Amino acid sequence: GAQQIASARVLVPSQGDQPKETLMPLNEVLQRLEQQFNVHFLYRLDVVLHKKNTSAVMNHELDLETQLDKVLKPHQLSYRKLSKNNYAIVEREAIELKRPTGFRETATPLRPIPHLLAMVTASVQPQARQVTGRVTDASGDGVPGVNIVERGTTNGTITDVEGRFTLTVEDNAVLVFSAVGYLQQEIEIGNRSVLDVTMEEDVKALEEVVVVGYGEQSRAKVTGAVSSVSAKELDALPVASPDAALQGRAAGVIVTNQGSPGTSPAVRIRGIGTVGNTSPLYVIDGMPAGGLNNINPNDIESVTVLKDAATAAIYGNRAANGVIMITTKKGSSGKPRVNVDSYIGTQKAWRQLDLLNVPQYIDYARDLQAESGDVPARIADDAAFANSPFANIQTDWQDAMFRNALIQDHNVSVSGGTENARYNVGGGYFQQEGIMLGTGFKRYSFRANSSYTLSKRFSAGQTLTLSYTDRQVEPFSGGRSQIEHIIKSVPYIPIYDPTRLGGFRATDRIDGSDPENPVLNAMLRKNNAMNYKMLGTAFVEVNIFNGFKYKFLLGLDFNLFSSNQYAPSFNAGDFSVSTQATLQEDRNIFFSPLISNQFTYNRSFGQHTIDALAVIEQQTYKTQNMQARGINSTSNDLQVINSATNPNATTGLYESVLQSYVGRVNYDYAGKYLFSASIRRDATSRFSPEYRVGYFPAVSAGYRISEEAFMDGVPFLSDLKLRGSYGEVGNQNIPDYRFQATLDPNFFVNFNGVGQSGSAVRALANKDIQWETTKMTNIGLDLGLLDNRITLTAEWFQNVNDNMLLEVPIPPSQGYDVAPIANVGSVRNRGVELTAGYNNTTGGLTWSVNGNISFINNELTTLGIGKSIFGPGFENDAVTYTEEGQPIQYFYGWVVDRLYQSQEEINADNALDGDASTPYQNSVTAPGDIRFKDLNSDGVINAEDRTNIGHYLPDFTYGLNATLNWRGFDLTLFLQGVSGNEILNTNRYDLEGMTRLFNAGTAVLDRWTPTNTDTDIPRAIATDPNRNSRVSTRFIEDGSYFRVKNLSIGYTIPAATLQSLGNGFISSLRVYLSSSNLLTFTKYTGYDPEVGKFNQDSGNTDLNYGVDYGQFPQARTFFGGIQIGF
Amino acid sequence: SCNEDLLDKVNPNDYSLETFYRNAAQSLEAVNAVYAGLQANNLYNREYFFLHDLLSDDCQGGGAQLEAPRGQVLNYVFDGSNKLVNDVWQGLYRIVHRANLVIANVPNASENITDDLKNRIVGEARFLRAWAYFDLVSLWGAVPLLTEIATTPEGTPRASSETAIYEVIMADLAFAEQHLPDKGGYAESDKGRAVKQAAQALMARVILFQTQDYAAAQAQLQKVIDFANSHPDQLGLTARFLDNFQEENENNVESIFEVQFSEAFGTNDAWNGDGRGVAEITFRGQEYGPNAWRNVIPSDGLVAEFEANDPRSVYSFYRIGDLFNNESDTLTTSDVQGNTEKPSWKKYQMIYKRANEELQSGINFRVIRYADVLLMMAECMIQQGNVTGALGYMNQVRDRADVMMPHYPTAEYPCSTPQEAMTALIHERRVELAGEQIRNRDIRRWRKAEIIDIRPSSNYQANKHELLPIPFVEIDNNSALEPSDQNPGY
Repeated sequence: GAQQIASARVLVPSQGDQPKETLMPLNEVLQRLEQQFNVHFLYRLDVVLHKKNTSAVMNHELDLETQLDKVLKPHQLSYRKLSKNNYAIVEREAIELKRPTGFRETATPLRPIPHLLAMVTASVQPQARQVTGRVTDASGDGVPGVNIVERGTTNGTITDVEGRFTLTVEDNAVLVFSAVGYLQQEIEIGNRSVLDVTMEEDVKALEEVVVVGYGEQSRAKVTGAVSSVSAKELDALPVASPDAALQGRAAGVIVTNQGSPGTSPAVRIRGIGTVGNTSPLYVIDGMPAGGLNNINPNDIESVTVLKDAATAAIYGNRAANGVIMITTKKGSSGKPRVNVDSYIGTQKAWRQLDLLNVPQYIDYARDLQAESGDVPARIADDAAFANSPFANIQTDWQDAMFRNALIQDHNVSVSGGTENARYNVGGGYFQQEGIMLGTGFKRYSFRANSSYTLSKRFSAGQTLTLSYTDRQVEPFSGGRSQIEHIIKSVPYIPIYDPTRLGGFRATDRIDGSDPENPVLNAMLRKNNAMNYKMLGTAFVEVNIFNGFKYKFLLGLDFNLFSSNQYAPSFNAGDFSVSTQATLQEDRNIFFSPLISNQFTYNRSFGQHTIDALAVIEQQTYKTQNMQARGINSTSNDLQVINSATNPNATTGLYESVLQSYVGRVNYDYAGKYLFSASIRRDATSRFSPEYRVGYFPAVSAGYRISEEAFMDGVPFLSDLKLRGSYGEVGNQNIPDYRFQATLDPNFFVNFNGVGQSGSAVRALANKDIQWETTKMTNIGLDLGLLDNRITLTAEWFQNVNDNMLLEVPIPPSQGYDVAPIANVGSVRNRGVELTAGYNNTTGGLTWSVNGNISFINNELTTLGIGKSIFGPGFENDAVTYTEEGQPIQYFYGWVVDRLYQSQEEINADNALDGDASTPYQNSVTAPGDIRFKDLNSDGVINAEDRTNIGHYLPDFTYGLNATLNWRGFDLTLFLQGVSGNEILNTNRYDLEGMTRLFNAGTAVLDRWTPTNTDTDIPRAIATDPNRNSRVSTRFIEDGSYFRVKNLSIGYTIPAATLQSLGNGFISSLRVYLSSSNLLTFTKYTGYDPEVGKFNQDSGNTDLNYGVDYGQFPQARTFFGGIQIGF
Repeated sequence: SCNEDLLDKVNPNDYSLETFYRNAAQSLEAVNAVYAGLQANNLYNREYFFLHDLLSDDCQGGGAQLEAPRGQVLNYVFDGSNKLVNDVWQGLYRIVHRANLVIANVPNASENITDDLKNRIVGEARFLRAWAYFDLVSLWGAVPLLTEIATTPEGTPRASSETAIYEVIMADLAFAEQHLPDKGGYAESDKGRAVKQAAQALMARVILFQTQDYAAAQAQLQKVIDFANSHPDQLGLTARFLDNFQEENENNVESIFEVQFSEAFGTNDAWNGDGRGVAEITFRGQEYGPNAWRNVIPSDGLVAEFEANDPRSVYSFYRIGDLFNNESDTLTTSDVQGNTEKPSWKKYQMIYKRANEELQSGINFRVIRYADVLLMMAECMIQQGNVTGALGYMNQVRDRADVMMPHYPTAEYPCSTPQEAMTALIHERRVELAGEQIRNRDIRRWRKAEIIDIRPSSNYQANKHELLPIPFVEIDNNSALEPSDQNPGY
């Protein structure tokens, strides 16, 4: 807090120019180094008092750590780097230059804690008994340098490198344990002689450093909208990728599952600004890169979400959807430390649908086919079915397809180093079986990060990720999802039939129904997508002179994608025959180097601090792809194209370049008045020369009211900051070459059996496409109360996207196959985000509650071209509609009124338009059919009677994380939810649509019949002549849910126990049991209310968020893990 | 440090519009892409034959698994969201667009290309554009008329009248007639490209539909018949009826225009909606096949239409007990789903020579064949009062070597008046051309000419179902259309 700093400063002698070779007090030398390098030192006053250096040690040419060595060595002192800008000065014998684990990054001036002042005059007290013990952190590692003082006395000591201490105290003494970065604890000694203490990290007292574009910044000085998620939170859930772990953790960030294991979730920051690509930019260790599934969450130190222009505009043309900065774990000096982190668990679908059993199915099938008379022969009469080989089969297709699935994650890492070279290397293995057969994901990953202090001027470092992932892609056969096949599969058909080629069974003609056997699809249709990823950076930094540095950074994002798809020949039934094996292999080489030159200047002049940045950089992208296909009608034994009878291949080459200049200046006065301005100039090859350059400026300001003198009278207020920002960011996220008018040479035709190629213009080119620009405004308030035990952040924002880049749907009459990309329309997102927390960090029982909630409002304010945009179709009805004055892509359809109960009602409706011969709906509408509402009152139901029937964006989203720690036990409860959104549940088309003979949900048992009229399920009639199953309110459901996302309990074995058990071999050990998605509260009737977008459809797939086409559901997971430190 | 030249990236995967259409090879590629559109999933690969057959009275549902959009067409309860209606609309306009590219650019080709070749290629494109517009205008009325490629996403309004579209069709066909070679004029490896007689026959079809100007239609048909008479090796009737529907005798003497299919190139891109890639097969066999999906079977009315002992009933339909797979298998009730007492389609089925349809078929669609020309000729003559002349052409069709049906007049079809002759002609067209996507338009034009009052479905509504609905997706996305532009009744 401010008071501590003030009191510490009193002790600092005034500075002035010293003649050469004079003696200087050590604390003054340190003070000067602090200024020169903009760092902060922490030290006990007794350590530095009465020590002097000659001023000759001050050499501005040397780097900080070299100078520190020279200054401290004569006094048997050393330093410990706590974080980027913070060092502890310690006695050499106490500390072996070891950084405590779990130490929080810190940037505020850390000063002697008041009670330490007492030690300056420490004197010997009467001694009664000796206490020994070990002080450890939450992960069980010994914490060196902890100050231990007998309360009310000046008797004290400090822990050694392993956290051990010995102290002689009086009976019933109370010991006060304190250390920088940890919460102070007071422990009554009683009659104990051995005392092990676990120090809790003091998260809030230490103000964090947040990772921002091209650097770090003290959170206190941040003037933009930033959310951070810690490694601990990222690791809490058993998920494959770090983006999935963000769900519910950061205000304004909506993460939605959209598929089987290994499928990237949909991540939206502050709503949807564009209907095109809405994914944020990911920057990993300073390198803009993709492929989050290839990144091991265990390797991640922190994730920062840059949400407004002040923070994101530094990434210019790619930042319109926000930026997610990911920093991987770096090494720290000290003895090698080995950490093992491992969990294993089981996953299960948390819900099943109610489907028809055999008797119910047969009864329903006969009714459905009654009108046409085509009752399938197998079930035409009971005797026929009783004689069929399937008479006694009852297959539960859900049971067959869903399983208890294994999930496991094992990580080992080693970190350590010297003052000059630090490393962190590790490896991980993650495996997640899908809860549905035929799906799964595994990843092997390797990480090596290191940093070096080369000389007084030079430092260098590198990061490297190597990983291999293998995803079993969910089969999508016959244009249908596996869930659709599960619902539709006939219950009397057995899964297996060993007598048939392939070993599976499906329907025959006499069954009158042709669902695909989903188990066959899962087992025979192999589709493995593999990525071999290398992502790395290397840099060298030169300290040119006072505060002026140059950093040269090379980054490389390399990915080799390889996919093998194979389906053997099989014969499972009359409709399920494949006479040949089909083979397809894809290879995709992605190569993207970044060359970045970064100049920084960081200096304080009295109360003025300037932090300036200039960057020149270039990132290129090159993709080479190849696809080879073929068939093999001879054998199922070989699964490579080599065996194909007609192999053929296509290839493609895609390149793009981005050249950028960046400038930024941060200025603050006394840490109180904060200003920042930045600009980025980007030039991209994706637009024509005329439009390729864009400029993206941003300005912001902050006012830390709590730093004002007049606020000293408000003791409970520890932090109060008001901030605002405005800026412009861009979007260039379209495919390469789209401004160029070209002919696709890949047409083919035969004349009289002789093949000839063809070329045509498939896409309408638009040479005028240019940047999409988002104007972002943000106003924020940060509040800390009671020594930051209570924190509150509130943000209001408005993002206005102009010149939205969009694949404009064009009328089919134009004859193009691919829609043009154009800059159209304007979207406004407005919202409020609140983050609040309470952290009780003292006493034996510590606990915290932190929550966030975001409200957002989305509106398409103008659409420059055409009238409106229709989303993709479901059974040929557009599912969404995008028009001015409404939120993007609302669900579009008819409104159900009720069921017709009599022909008289239908006749009356038919006469509504004054002509009884023209039907209200159509000529075959009958009692039991749905009456749709005539919204335009013209007496006819047609396309004009569709309207807004719901929207996928929630009114608000929220997350709440509660933790509790007591005597080594830790308990975490994480709740998460969304509220006020709708889902278009197309599974109900299959469950209760009754359009064609397939199995269905038990809802059809309540279908309308002349004797069952009090229902909202229409009559059963094949081909659905009244189109009862058109896109309508019938299939719209409330998508709100509230979920116990994580509940876990852990126990950290006391260090003393470990010491006695393993002779100190194991330094820390925590075991835990955890769950994810333990409970879900929702009115949604599908498998899972988390519905992203559908990826299999062609056309504009960005306008079907929230449409459940049979999406792979989230699992309920139970897992247990162990974390060991050696 | 940044070299701005790096930013100039040219698409290395595609030809540039600015540099293409220079020479003969490129011009041929351009017109080949138009033909590829015919093979696309939304036309002859799958949807085109469904749409025409289900709209006619030749077909009925074969079993429980006829998909809802198809069932809705069969039952005339479709609207502008119907998949078949949408797909065929889109497929036809792709033909128009690609033809427009050829028509606009190929005349400027200057390298290694003769004027004759340029005209032939443009003639092929104009023939295909006319074919597509005839489907569009005859099914949907005054549709948007594009004779140049669209350069902005803005839409095109409906043509001022159907006549405006027919004018384009007739001009295209006149150009094609002038510049396309006679049948037999192509090399073997180009057989299947549009020929002069195809333009003439299509023009006759168009006239019969648009104006019923029988003299004008007759003049076109006469040219085709004259060519046949002078080139019997090039054009005439095949001795064997089924040679027109099987794989071995494609592009035969009776053929005037065919959509080319072949299994030889694999099935990789068969589901492609735009004909891109190797999309050389059709699902017709699988969709209609007696021991395949059997989604569509001949209607009771069609089956009853055949005279007793007309062998074309046997050639056109499979029945239980029939031999297939080179006569080595016998069709049994367990092979066939749905009502096995009713026959199944045999035309265009692959099982004449194999055990199963196997999803894909390489049999060409005969879009126009000589028997149709002869019967159109007969119709023109009847309508102009020349019954005797007409019967000659009708009997020529019945004289096919493996048909040999008694000559008209017969007891059942006396043909003593033009009306009676017309009844015989309507019968003859129905049985000869069953399942060839002819009947739907025949019904429509005869209703238009008030010759018959057949309703293809009990749900058929006059003053509505003469036209199909404009697809919602067209009205929704075409900035020049309003909901009021929808066809009446939808």
